[in-house]
Amino acid sequence: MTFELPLFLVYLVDGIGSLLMLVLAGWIFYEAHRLRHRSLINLYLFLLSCSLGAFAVNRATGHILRYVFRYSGQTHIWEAIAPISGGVNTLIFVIIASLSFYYGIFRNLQETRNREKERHLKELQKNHDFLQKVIDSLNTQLVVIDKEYRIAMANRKFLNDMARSKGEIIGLPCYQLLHRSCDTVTDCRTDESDAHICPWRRIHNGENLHLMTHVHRDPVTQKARHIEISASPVHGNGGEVEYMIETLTDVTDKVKLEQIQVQQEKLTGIVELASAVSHELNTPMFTVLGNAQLLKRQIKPDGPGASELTAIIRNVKKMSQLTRKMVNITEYTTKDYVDEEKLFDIAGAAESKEEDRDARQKDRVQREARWLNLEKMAAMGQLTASVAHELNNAINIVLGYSQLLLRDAQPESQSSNDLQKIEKNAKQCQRIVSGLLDYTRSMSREKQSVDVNRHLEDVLKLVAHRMALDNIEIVTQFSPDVNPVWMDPDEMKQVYLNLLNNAADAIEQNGRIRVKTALDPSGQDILVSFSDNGPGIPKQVMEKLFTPFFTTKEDGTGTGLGLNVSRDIVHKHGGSLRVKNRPEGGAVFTIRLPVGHPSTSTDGG
Amino acid sequence: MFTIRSRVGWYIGILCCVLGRTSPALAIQTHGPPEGLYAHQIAHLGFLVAMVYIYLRTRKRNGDGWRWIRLSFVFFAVWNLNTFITHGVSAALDPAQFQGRIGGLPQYFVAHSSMDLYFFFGKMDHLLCIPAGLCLGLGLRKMYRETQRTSSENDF
Ligand SMILES: Nc1ncnc2c1ncn2[C@@H]1O[C@H](COP(=O)(O)OP(=O)(O)OP(=O)(O)O)[C@@H](O)[C@H]1O
Ligand SMILES: [Mg+2]
Repeated sequence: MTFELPLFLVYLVDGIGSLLMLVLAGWIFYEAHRLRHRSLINLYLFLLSCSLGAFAVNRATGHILRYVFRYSGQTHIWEAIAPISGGVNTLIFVIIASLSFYYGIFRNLQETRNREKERHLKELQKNHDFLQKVIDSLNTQLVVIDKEYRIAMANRKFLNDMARSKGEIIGLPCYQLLHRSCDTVTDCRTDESDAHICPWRRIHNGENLHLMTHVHRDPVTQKARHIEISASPVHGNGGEVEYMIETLTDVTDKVKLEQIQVQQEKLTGIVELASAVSHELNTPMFTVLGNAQLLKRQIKPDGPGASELTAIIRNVKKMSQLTRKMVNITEYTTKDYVDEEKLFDIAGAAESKEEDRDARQKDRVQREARWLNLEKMAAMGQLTASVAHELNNAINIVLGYSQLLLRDAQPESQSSNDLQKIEKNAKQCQRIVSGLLDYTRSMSREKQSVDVNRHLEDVLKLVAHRMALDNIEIVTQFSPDVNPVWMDPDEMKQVYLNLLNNAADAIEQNGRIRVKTALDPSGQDILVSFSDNGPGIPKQVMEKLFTPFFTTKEDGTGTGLGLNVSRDIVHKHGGSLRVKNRPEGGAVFTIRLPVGHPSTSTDGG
Repeated sequence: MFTIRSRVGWYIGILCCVLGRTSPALAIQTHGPPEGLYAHQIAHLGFLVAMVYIYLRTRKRNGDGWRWIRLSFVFFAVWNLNTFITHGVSAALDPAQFQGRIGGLPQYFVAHSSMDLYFFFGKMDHLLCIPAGLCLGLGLRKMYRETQRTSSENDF
């Protein structure tokens, strides 16, 4: 058998195939080229594909050239090229073959690299976790803010205090969460009035780290909190500021304590001043008294000037009483004043009782003791102020009468001399007391519009602990109609505390105190009443209830000043304090305070 | 000091001299005619074995890209086998089996045996070679797509 096969079929397939192979080689090269990054295996594929492509190119060009030269009869040229083409072809085969056997090496390298990368990632994660844990364990709020004023990171304390989740906070503009003073970033950057408040601007101005105190609003209670902020920049690689780290510490308690201290110092000042004043008053006062008594002895009981002199003597005696009262107050204050060292003793005692009581508790005990102290001091200050006022009134009367008598007296006479002495000394008394009066006036605090029910509720929290200890139930009955009242909340708090403590003292243990607010039917006044189910107040006690230093409490637990001071305070507010025994037993104290804005009641007496 | 480019220039120059004096060189060469063919055939075998080897090594890799690339290895391997045989067969052919003329090329091939027939069809090896190239290109393309997809997933 013999076949005659047309070779043009072979030529056709070969020619078209070679051309196609050239195209394919180009494509393969392109694909391999863009794949070569990312992994070693891809790089390997690139190398292998390149050599396969080179093989295709070499072979295809060889074949094409062969046809061209042989067809055109220039066989000798082809014969010169053929061995080169063939040789290169062989070489490429060898390269391809050896490359193929390198696959394992590349793969191992790749795997090692992957493992290393994984380990690296794990290490990074570990570091990251550690850092996160450290930051979250911080007992200070920490927040990182980026250049666009957006929160980039926050620690757990911050999230907890803000009562937000991480997802809610990240990316949130800081001014929306913290200050709410501006609406946009441009606002924040350009608002000049805000310059002192935004730490970012200070950071931009090159300040590295500083402490400042802001007032932020508590996101939960909406109460103002004093926040101490420390901010520092986070620099990028180029040295430019990219982020700002802020740590925020709530120092509200500290600030309050400082305010208390200032208050306390002022009050101590008053009491000290009062002590000095009462000493200084003695000489001029007794000079006035001596001279007045001398003069009175010289004239007839119903003669001219006798009634004036009697008035002078009466008032000087009153002055002397008031001075004694002041001495009593100062002595009492200095005797029972719980000073700083004792405060620490109280805290220490609390600690030794229960070893594991935490610092917060200790702090609280200390603060409570301080408050107690302050209350006592405030009561004393209040009392001193009112005594000084009465004293001043008495002096004015003495001075007025002595000047009246002096006008009628014959000049150069003995009585005129005596009267001048009286006047001179009375004036000196006036000078001495005026210093104290000025001081007490500087003490009087700003009044403000106060929501009575809320204020009462706050006060009740202060005594809740004590009431619970004595098993006394506090029942509140607040009327929603009660209007805000113009008052000094600190002073009124003192009144409430006095009445509550009195009631609790009367009950001793196991009982109920009812606290009630109401709007007087006239709509002019509001009424706050404290009724207890204690023993009530006996008639003979009732008469002296409001006198200073009257107390039925033994062994110095009571000063007998509480009700006296309370009444003064309520009077100062233009109101009244009344007491009644309830028919079913126990006492009711009712405070009546005028609604509105009484400008006349700033100084009571 | 030669720069790399000038050195390449030198090599090309030397190569041209050698090629220009081909005939005397051939006269003294110790690597006679069958050696080229043998070297080429051994290279084919190497290529073939390499393709089989790499096919087996990459067998466990999954993904569309690798599947196509593996297929191209198979085609290359088969192509090598075919070419290896065709070369071998062609060495035993008689020039008289090529008859007729189209330009400088023979027109017919006279086949006497099944071996001759194999030679004729084996000559059309592009039918294997082109699918191999196609598969390779496709595989690389798929692979590129895959890396792009995964990298967009992994990168933060
Ligand atoms: N709710 C009450 N029930 C019965 N007696 C009361 C009540 N409130 C006050 N008293 C009596 O009035 C007295 C005077 O009270 P006041 O508040 O002026 O002083 P104190 O409570 O004794 O001392 P301090 O308030 O300085 O601790 C008390 O000692 C007590 O006998
Ligand atoms: Mg009392």
